[in-house]
Amino acid sequence: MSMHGSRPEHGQQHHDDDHDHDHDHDHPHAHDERSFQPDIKEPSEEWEFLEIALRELLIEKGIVTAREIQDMLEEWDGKCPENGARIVARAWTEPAFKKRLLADGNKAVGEMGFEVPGLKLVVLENTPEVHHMIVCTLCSCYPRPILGLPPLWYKSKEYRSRAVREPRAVLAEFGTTVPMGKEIRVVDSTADCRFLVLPERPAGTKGWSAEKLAQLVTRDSMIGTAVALKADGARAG
Amino acid sequence: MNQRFKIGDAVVVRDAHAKGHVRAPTYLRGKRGRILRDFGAWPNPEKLAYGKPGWPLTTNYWVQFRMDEIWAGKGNYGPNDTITAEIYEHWLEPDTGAAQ
Amino acid sequence: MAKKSVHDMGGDPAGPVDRHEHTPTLTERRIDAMMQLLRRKPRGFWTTDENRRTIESLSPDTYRTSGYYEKWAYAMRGLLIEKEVLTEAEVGAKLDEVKARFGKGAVKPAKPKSKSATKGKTR
Repeated sequence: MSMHGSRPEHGQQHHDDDHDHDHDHDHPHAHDERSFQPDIKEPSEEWEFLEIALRELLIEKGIVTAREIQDMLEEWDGKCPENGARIVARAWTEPAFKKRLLADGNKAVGEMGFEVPGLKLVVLENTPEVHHMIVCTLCSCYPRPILGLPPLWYKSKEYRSRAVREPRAVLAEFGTTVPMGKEIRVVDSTADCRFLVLPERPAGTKGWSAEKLAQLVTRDSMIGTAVALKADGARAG
Repeated sequence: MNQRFKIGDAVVVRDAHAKGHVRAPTYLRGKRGRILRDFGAWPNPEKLAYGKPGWPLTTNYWVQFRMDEIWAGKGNYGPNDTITAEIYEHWLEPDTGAAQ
Repeated sequence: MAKKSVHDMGGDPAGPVDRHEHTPTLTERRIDAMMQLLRRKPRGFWTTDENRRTIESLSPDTYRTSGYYEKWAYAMRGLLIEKEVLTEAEVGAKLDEVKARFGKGAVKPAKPKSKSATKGKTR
């Protein structure tokens, strides 16, 4: 089950002489030569040339270093939905942790080594009465320090415009149905909170380890466009 | 600091046009809702956006709106569906017409 | 009533959500990384709010037709110049140099993009 797009491989050649060719073999991602994906395409659009120009100027002038950029890329590689899944699974298995998580998201995820500096992490629990669905109509606010980079659709005009007005139609496009009488709470992320949905724990998972439960927690279930996978790993409607 | 509103208060988003960077979406202006949570005091983003410190701090409230209040049936939602948004205090007025 | 800004789009009519997964390219990830470095301490050149304001200030046509990281590249350029970290002249000169390096001496006009070029793309 893939929760997000494949992570980019490191080490591609680039015309503009990346100063950091060191290949760190402690890197957590597999370096499988057979599945090497050259995701460098020749720049062709104005903004791609602009990125090169700005980066080279910033490095030339000592404002940033290539090493810092590389370190930042690797820092963000480490931020991914699996983090959120671990948090959710722990909340499902430890009621005291869940209570702390709902009361103060920043502090609770800090116990697991996650940091959300400068923003308020608010974890919203889905219940039999309420299903939360997160959107940022004005831009693309997303709990990036936990889940990593948002999916393209989350940032799209279509999602941002329609989620607040046609949540059920949008959910249907995701293959998700919420009973008509249940409250869908569309959460428009308009300020400095970053919202993470705590999906309902699937039936038939009593006694499961947190590790096993985490595999049922998809990225979309933490955004609210889906629910967690069923105990047999199948998609729930 | 003194907060103007408390949880449960009926409020209305000011129906004002503001120039420049604001975080009160147009679709919520003039709409009535209730304070669900208080997210504490923050620098004003409308000032931060122009390099100003944004003090004095302003309280940010989680306000909940019924879908019908916003869209009057012109949408695709259920009867109990709601929208929540974080709205800064200076964008809110008491909804004097609502049951308290 | 004054017209609302393009970015202020909650409730606007729109088509189906394109759910295809897009792996960010290295260019996009670099833009993201550089924006983080410039915004966060120890540099703190600008705030998230200034970034948003800059993106919202793009022309409506640019906003509508540009990709997500494309907008960030424009915002980064605009903010670096606004904050006088770089000058317009040196950015322009370096951009020309970079394009020449790729054999793109003739400037490809950036904006506006035709509707057909972006039809079906999730922006």
